[in-house]
Amino acid sequence: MASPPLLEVRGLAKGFGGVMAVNDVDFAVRDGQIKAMIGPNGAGKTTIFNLITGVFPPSRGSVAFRGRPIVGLGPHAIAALGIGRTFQAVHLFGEMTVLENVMLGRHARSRSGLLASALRTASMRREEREIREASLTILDAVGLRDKAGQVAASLPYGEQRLTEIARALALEPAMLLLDEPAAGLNREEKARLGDLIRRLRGRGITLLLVDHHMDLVMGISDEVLVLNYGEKIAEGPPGEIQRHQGVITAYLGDED
Amino acid sequence: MARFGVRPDTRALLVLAAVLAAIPLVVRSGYLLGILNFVGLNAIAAMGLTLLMGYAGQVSLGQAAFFGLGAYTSGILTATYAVNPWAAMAAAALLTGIVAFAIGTPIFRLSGLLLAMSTLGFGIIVYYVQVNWAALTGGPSGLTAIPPLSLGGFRIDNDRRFFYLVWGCALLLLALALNLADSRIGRALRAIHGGELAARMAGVDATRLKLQIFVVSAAITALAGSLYAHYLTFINPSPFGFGYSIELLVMVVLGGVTSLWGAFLGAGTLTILTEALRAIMPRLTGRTQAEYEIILFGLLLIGFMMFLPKGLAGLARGE
Repeated sequence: MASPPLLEVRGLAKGFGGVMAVNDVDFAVRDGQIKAMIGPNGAGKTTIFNLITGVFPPSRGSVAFRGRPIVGLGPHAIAALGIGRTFQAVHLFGEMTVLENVMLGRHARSRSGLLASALRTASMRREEREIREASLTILDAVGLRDKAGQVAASLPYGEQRLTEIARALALEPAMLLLDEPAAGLNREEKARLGDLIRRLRGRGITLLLVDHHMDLVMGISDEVLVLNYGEKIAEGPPGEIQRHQGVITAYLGDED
Repeated sequence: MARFGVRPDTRALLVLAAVLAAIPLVVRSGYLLGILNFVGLNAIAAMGLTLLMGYAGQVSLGQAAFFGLGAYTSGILTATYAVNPWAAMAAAALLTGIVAFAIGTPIFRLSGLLLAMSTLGFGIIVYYVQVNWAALTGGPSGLTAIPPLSLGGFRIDNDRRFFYLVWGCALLLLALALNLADSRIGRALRAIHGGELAARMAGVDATRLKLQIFVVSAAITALAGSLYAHYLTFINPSPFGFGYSIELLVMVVLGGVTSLWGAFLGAGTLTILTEALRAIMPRLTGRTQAEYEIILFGLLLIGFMMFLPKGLAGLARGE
């Protein structure tokens, strides 16, 4: 525990018009970990994602990535540091193809500017080829290579979710935040998602995910963080969380 | 998007270039060539707006002011200070770009309709400066004796010669803009248009990119204005009012907001329609001063928004 955790959240709080959506939350995600955040609707999970990724600033508290404070940076700058993310409701660029969506994900890892692009300079064309090849490799990895040329909006829902993950992977993130990745997936797709998440961890990507599917969460996570009304009520390995009385009352008791 | 061989846009550009090159050989009427020259000028300005509206999803209601700034920068530098016209043209694009940067920098930190409102206000201010700062602009009567552009002693001083210049510029800018659209920057712009939050999360600095495109859009429009000044050799404020900003907006919507080719289609259709209306309506109604084109613009805008949101370019693609 000598080196700082990959992501460290301290005293994080966010109020919206007097209502505290997130209140004084502390947690850390270590390198290579799969950590899940659970809690009833409105517990503040997505708000925490938005605070980490710079969608809006916290009312109080700090977020550090690799020991470096990131509060106050814009979302694109935080992405460029290596934090990728997907959304609760799929946010694909529907009119663009699957491949273009993933290619866009490499924006922060490429540099050709306006002028080089307008002039199609040799270095721009080389970079464009690299972007395309890296994106196709990622589509291969998530099993969507044969859908590369299709318009994103035309894909079935499960594949749209995968495309969104592929886009986030194109960033070459050190850390990936997945907001309800299993929502709307059928049993088979859910199992494949679990495999994919484990594979990503195998490649050195640290994961923080929010999900309601207890089988998935308890099956793949190293640690689980439980939120209720914006506050942390428990944190620990899945087995411990499943036995935690406060958690059972607040959340698990309502489930299935 | 083809990786090998000639890209489809390149082929279309070459065909268009060949057709355009042949037009002055067939069309001998100075009146018709003059109209086509205005189509070219409008196409350049409309393309500037398409980049902004169709790619960055931002609306500007002050493009006429950028056009006017380009025209007046060129006019003042050449007619009053005897600067070389090409240098004046470069200065016009540069100065207008700087002005757009100054307007855009605070605006793009915020969002929504602010750009539309501020460019609207900016357009009105520029118009009144042109009318009232007579010492610099010549006031309502404008500037005269603006020299035409020339290439190595060859003066581009008639409709036929200007035709090649304006369409050469238009095609060159179109080629550059098409390149831009099919690139990392183009993808980022379309992504901003599709969903700014997701684009930001994917690493796109949306604020900076929108500002850049706004500056490019203003500079392109200023180039068209500068060409206009050297073509007509006299300018006054009246063509650079709010009406022209709306005209450009209608051209872009008519052609198809998300298509650079659409800017050309829209500019061609609207310029020729307006000209035809000006020729026909006085004979039908007996009035010479009425401006029926305003009604036409309104109807076209509503009609296309409702029934053909992808414009003529969308229609041509069969959408």
